[in-house]
Parts: sequence; structure tokens; C-alpha cells
Amino acid sequence: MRITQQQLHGVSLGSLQHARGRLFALQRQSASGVRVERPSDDPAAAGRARVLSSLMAAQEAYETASSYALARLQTADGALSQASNLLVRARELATAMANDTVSAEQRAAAATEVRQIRAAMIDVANTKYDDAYVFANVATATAPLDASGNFTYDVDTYDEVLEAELGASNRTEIGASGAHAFARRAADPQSVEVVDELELLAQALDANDADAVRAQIDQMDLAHRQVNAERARIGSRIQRVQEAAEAARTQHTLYEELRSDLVDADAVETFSRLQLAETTMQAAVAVAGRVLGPSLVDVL
Amino acid sequence: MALAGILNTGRNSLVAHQAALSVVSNNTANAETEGYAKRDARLASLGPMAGVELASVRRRTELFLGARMFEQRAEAGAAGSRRPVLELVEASFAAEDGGIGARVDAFFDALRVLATDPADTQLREDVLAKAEALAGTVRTEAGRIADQRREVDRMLADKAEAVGALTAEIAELNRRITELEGSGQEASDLRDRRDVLVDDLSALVPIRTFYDETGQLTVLLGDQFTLVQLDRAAHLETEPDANLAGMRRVDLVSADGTRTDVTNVLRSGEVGGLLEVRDDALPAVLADLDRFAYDLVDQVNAIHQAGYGTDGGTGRDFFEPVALNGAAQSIRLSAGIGDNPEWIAAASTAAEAVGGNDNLLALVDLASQKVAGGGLRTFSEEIANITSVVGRMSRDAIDDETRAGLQLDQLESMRASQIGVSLDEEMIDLTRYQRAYQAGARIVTTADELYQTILNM
Repeated sequence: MRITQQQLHGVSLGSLQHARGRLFALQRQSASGVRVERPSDDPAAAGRARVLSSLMAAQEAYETASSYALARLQTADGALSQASNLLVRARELATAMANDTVSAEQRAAAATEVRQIRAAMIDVANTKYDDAYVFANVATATAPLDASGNFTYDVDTYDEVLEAELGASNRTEIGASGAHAFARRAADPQSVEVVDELELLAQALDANDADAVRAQIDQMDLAHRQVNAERARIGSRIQRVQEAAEAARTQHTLYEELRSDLVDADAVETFSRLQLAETTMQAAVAVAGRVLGPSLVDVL
Repeated sequence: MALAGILNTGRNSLVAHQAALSVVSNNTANAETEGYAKRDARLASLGPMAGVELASVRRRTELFLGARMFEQRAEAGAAGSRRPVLELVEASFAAEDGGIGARVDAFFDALRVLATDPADTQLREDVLAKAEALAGTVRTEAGRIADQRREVDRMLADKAEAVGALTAEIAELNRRITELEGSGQEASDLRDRRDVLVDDLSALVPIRTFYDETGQLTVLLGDQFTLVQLDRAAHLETEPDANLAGMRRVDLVSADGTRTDVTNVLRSGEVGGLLEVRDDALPAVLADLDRFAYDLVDQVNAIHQAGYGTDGGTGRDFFEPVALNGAAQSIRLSAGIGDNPEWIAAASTAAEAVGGNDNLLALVDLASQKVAGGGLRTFSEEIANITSVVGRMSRDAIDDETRAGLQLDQLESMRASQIGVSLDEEMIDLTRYQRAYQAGARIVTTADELYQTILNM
């Protein structure tokens, strides 16, 4: 075969450029640690990586949403714990005042305390978290109980609590039900109107009616049980929200690993390939020097 | 045989080998000249006892490679003009933070968080800010691609003009070659130059060439249109065309002024590459983005209209309604909602207007429903799909360019092997002709000595 100067130069230049191109690509990969920097580096992986980034972002949103929900539920939990304490005190008073030896003055004093407990109970039911009434169910800008202790919403219609998406197709209850904690609902014959029962107790004490006071002890028990039942539900909601947050964190890590497998460069492999490319480059330079060197021109 | 004859033979030898040496020196000097084809000095006997002469200087011509090289050069040209444009487009989708995909995620994630506290003004404002950013990014990226398309259209005009300049020069060379060779002179340098121009032309548009019976070069565009015949050249003109939405149409204007629309004939070469990226690749990406934006506006609005804002209002759009065509470049929040976060319809009934989140949950559900891309993908998946498609287009252009480049290198190498200059060969010829020249000189001195002998008798 006839070999000409242009061929020699063409081949040397071609192989040098090829080696330089490969070296450059690997240098960029090693420096950035990323294998798929642009979609054209691996179109399929770039698409998958985008989907995984979306999933990761969603997990972050689930975590944020969980922390909001948790703060709201914990506020409700604190409020119900307070309500429970108030009812324990009211029952103590009722038990003490049910005794026939107690005087009318003592009962009147107890009535005053029960009215204070009732006022405190209204405040508890109207607990706010960040400008929203936690026991209001939907109408969070309106206090669930008015000054006279009446519900401002229909407790039979709104006895469900707010739900939110805290995981892929995972709807979790994130609200507290004022209806379940404080109201007498048609659906539950055992339920009592907590604030009204306290008022009845106060009236019985005012009337110095020991039998009526005795009757309210049972009502206080029912109210206490009712408040604690909702508190238990809130406890299990808190647990579910925490589980959702934990699941979101786990999923996030999983997706991050999958994404990294797709788009990140394996350090060991990249460096060994970089070394190979450097060797190839050196070889190409050395060969180019030799190819372009000897000719009859040097000899004749 | 007369002594004068011997002297004459020696003279002829000196003349012929000096001429051959000048051919060798010209080859050596042009060893690296682009387009230079090696000249072969043909020596021939002058007949009985008359010595040698330089019969001809032949310019080497390559065989078989021409058509293949034009094809590969056109392929390389097409891929080479597509690649930079597509690389710019894919850069819009490469951004992990701030790209359209990340903005879609941020929008739906803001809705997810708002669902935990649907009446909260700050969370509502966050949703609006994320929606604004999403709409803005879609508009910007789609606008960038549309600009890119107009830029390609402008480049097309330049390339078409370059085609005309080349064909005019080739026609002119055809004329001068005919003229020179007609008067018995040698025109190898002009032929070299013409080959270089034809090579340049083949990178711009798909061409075929052949030599007519008089040895003149005819250049065809594609298979059917004449670009250069004898000294007549056709050229390309571009002109905005209403049928192409104001983009340029490419006309072939022949030497006699006949116009032919060749926009759809040019499928390779740099001109073809630009046409393809302008008429196929970029419109496809834009259409995908339009479809995405349209679906997003449509689906979000349908759900949003059914819900109630905290002010009790209902039936409101979230995004400004758009037409499918150009949706990506016009997507924006509907008038008023940007300043009125209470308009976000979180609740599904008027009674729950403040605090209800059922409608928000329906909006959040959109994120996981396959309502984009013709009902095949979710909104996030659709952006991932467009990212893949754009990446694949760019990858194809890079691969095509590399492959055509490698094949072209190989063909160039084969051509260089056929017609290029080998210095080793030239050095050997140099020595050969030098020796022959010395021998010729010896004949002259010998003849001279014979004369002296006779004269001294």
C-alpha cells in the first residue's frame, strides 16, 4: 500500500484527537463525580433520574407535611391532657360535695370552682395552633365553642377529622375532633356535652342538691372517658404521622441511592479508566512523534 | 549515426530529466497542500536513436471514492450542524435544580404541604410562588427553544448563500479549465482547486458529480437538480414563507432564473441538518412542551374551578386558560389569583370553605395520575420523558457526527493513498532523475570528447 504524507498526518491527528477527546470526557467525569451530566450522556438514565428526583422531592414534601401535622396533633394532645386534668378535679369536687354532711356554703364555693373549670374547659376546646382552632374540624378560623359553651358547628355532620397525603397513596388523619372530645353526638348515645355537664354540676351545687351532685359524678366519669378516648385516637394519629415521616425518610434514601447508581460516576472505575486514557494519550503522542519523524529526506 | 545525433540525445536527456525533476520538486513542495494531487512525470522514448522526452505530466485522479465521500461529508455536515443546536436545547433539561421538572415537583409539593393547614395564608402564598416559578420556567425554556429555531433559520440563509458562492466559483473554474486545456495548456492547479471547492460544497448540500464527454464537471443537487453545468451555476435563495409560519423556504434558482422549491429535497449536508433541526427536532420538543403546559393548565383548572376559596368564591381558574398551540409560551397564573391567595380553592364545599382540604387533595392526586403525554404519563414523568427524548436527539447527532467523521477520515486516507504525495517516493524519484540527468551530461561530455578527438586528428 502506498502511504503518503497526508495519510500519516491524518492518522496521527485523528488518533491524537480521539485520545484527547476520551481523556477530556473522563477528566470531566472524575472532576464532577457525575457520569450523566447532560441528558445526551445517557438519555434513558437521565429520564429515570428525573423521575427519581421527583419522587425524592415528594418524600421531602411528605416529611414537611408530617412535621406540620405533628405540631398540630401535639397541640391537641396537650389540650386534651389539660381537659382530662380539669375533669379529674371536677369529679373530686363532685365526690366530696355529694357527702350529706357538706354545708350549703361549701357547696356554693365548690360551684364557683366548677364554673371556673367550665370556663377553662371552653378555653381548652378553643385551643389554637398558629391561628387555627385545632378542634374546629373544618372552619379553623372560627372558635368551635362560643362564650356560652355552645358548638358553632354541627357536631353530627363534622365528626370527621382533616386528612392529608403523607405518603404515596397514604391518606392519614391529621386533625383532632372537637365533636368526639367534647360533644354529645346522635351517633353515640354514651356521649355527653362536657361543658354542659359541668354547668349542670355547678347548678346542682348551687341548689345544694346532694342527689343531683351524686348523679353528676357518673356524668363526669363519662366525660373523662370521652376526652381520653379522643386523646388516645390522637396518640395513634401522632404515631401514624411519625411512621409516615419515617417511611418518607427511608424512601428518600432509597431513591437517592437508586439515582446515584444511575447518574453518579463510580470513583474507582472512573479513575482506572482515566489512567488508561492518560496512558493512551501518552502513547498517541509518542507514536505521532515517531510516525512523523523518519523519512528518506533525512537520509539522502 | 552522426556525432551530432549523440550530442542531441544527451541534450534531450538533460531537458527531459530537468523537467521531471521540476515535477518532483513541485510534488515535494506541495506534499501538505490541501487538495493537491500528485503529478506523475511520464518519460517516453523519442523514437529511433533520438533519446528521451517528457511526454506528459499527469495529475493523479482517485477512483470510486468520490460519491462515497460526498455522502459521508454531507452526513457529517448535517450531524455537525444539528449537534450544537440540540446540545443547547438539552442544556435546558439538564438542570436538576431549577429545571422544569424540579419546578413541577415544587408546585405539587407546596400543595401537599398546604393540605395540612389549608387556610394558612403563608402556605397559600408559597403555592402561588411555586406555581408562578413553574409557569415562568416553562415560558422561558419554550421561548428559548423558539429563539433557537429562529437563529437556525438565520443560519440557513448564510449557508444557502455559501452554496451560491461555491457553485459560481466552480462554474468559473470550469470555464477557465476548458479555455486553458483547449489551448493545449495544463490546468492541473485549477482542477485541484475545483476538487477542493466541490468537497466544500458536498459538506453543505447533498451532491453528485460526473464528467461530461468534454471532461467538464457537472454537479447535481440530490439526484435531479443541476447545480453546475459547464460555466453555468445555479444558486440557493431563502425567503420567509407564510406556509412555513414565517420560516425561510429554500429555492434553487437555476442559471436561467427558474425557481424550484427544494426545502424538502435537502435532507443532508449542513443545510439539510439545519432544516431538519428547524422543521423536525425543535418543533417536536416545542409540541411536547405545549402539550404538557396545556394538560397542566386544563387539568389543574378543571379541579380548581370545582373548589371554593377561603372567601367562599368558586368557579375560578388557577392558570389562565391557553390554546394548545403555543401553550408553553403563554402559561401564566390567572388574573387576580397572584394577589389573592384566599382564591386558592382548597375546599370542595362552600360550607368548608375555610379549613376544608378535599379539593387540595384532588389537586395533589393529579401529581400521581397519568394525565400528561396523551394520558400515558404523570406530569413529572412527562418532563422526564421529554428530557430523555431531547437527550436522545442530541446523542444521535453526536454519534452521527462521530461515525460520519470516522468514515470520512478513512475515505480521506484512502484518497490520500491514491493521489497524495509520498516524500519517500519523491526522494527516490529525485535521486533517479538526478542520476539520469548526470548520465545525460556524461553523454554530452563524451560526445564533446569524440569531437575533440576528431578535431585533433
